[in-house]
Amino acid sequence: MSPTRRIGVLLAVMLFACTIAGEVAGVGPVSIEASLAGGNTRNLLKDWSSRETAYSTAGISLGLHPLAMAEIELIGEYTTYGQLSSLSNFRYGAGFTLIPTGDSARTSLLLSGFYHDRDYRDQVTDVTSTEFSSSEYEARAGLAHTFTNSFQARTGLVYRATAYGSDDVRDREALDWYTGVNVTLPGRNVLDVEAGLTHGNLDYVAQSTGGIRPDRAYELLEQADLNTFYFSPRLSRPLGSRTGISLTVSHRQFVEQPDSAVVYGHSTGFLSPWVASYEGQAVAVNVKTFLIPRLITTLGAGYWSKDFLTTVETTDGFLGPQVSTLFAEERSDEQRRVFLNLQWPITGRGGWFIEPSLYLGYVSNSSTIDVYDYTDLSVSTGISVRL
Amino acid sequence: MYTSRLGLAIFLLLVLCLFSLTSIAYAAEDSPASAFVDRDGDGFNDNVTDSDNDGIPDFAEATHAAESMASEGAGAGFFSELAAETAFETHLSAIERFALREFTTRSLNSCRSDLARSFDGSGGPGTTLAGGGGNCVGGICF
Repeated sequence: MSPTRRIGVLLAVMLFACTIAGEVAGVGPVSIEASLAGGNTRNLLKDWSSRETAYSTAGISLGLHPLAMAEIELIGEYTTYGQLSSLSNFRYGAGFTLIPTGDSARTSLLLSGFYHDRDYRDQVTDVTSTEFSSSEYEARAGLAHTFTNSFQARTGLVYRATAYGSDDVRDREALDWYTGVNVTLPGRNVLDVEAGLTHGNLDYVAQSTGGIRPDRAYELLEQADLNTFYFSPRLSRPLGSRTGISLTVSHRQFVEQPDSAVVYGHSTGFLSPWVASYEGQAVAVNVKTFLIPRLITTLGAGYWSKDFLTTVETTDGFLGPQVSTLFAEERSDEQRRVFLNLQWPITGRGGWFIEPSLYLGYVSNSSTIDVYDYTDLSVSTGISVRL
Repeated sequence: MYTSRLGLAIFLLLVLCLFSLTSIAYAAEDSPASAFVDRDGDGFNDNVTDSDNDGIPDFAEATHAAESMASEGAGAGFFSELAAETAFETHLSAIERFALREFTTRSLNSCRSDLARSFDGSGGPGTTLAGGGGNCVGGICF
């Protein structure tokens, strides 16, 4: 059976099983959300390769509600890429959300978790020689208390893990602890301050390592901890009756990392899951408005200053396919992003909901490593249906 | 680099001026009873009525005349509206009752440990249902 047909059968079975379970076995009503989206990105890999590709995504999500306090969610989503077909993948899984506290209680408790599998169409992608089929896990516990109408405090723990199908690449794990307060100030200004710590693992190559042979690339990896602290205040308020604005600032900093840590980059062929880990500052402004009738219009602009882990990118010309950490470089990026998102929600008497949407996004990134000097323009359209 | 930082500083100053100028106007209108709550950070009062649950508050969907009436009472009427909704909870379906509880936890769903991933909330391949923003390709999320 072809992968496409297998996915179709799986989605049909999920839909049928959930409907039967919901209506007959008494696990409560079933909510169904389906979406279709298509788009084009001029730089899918976010590097100097500028790999332009069209993509489309089809997904379905089923929510079971056995109790008023609980939801069980099943998802299936297939993404296909026009010019990079080997990256086409199927993501599926299940999750739950449990909220034992009532809707009028001053204290809210949230418990949730999910397991998602992502299977690539081909075992070997043309991004890297590593097989990146993966499983993602998340477990979350959050507690919020409303002291007065204008003051709420919250805290929570989030555990995230990504397990890779390849035995070469170690699973990536992280535990976030966060805490924050939300205060309404005079003049309808709302200040939300959040801070947190992330404790995670790291696989790296020591800077003193010389040439890296392709067949031994992953044997050279050493293990360590990567701890990060962040602090993020946010100010939000209305501008008139139909527009809201928020200003978010963020500071993120490695607390503990090995000084000599080097991670594999895009051009080496041994892409590391830690290549996107960074510290630095960010500022973002988001505006949401209902000025255009029936449309939800969201605009945003953001600036990031990022310092990444030292990265080895350049292929060693003298040693053929081998790579050397002698070419490892400090990587600092400056990134600017703007986006526009339009949503057109349509509701019906039976509670059904359809929402066409349009997204435009532009990214400009400059880096101390040429590989990461890039721009990207993305356009996508989609439609979501909720029953 | 210097021009970029200067541009950013001017932009931030303009945004902060916008915040402070409009605050003066709202401070004169507000009373202790009309608590403004924005836990999700979109700049709107979370408790305004959205009876068809489409994400657009009722006052923004009303005709111009009706909208004027709604905006006059939007702040003071909030607690009475919430109380009325709670009274009707017994007639709601399990999905609707779960949505009410979920509403109380909206500040717990967004952890800002990586602002880059939560910035635009949508867009990009593979993020329609399962993603939390960001662009994930080949097992790496950018």
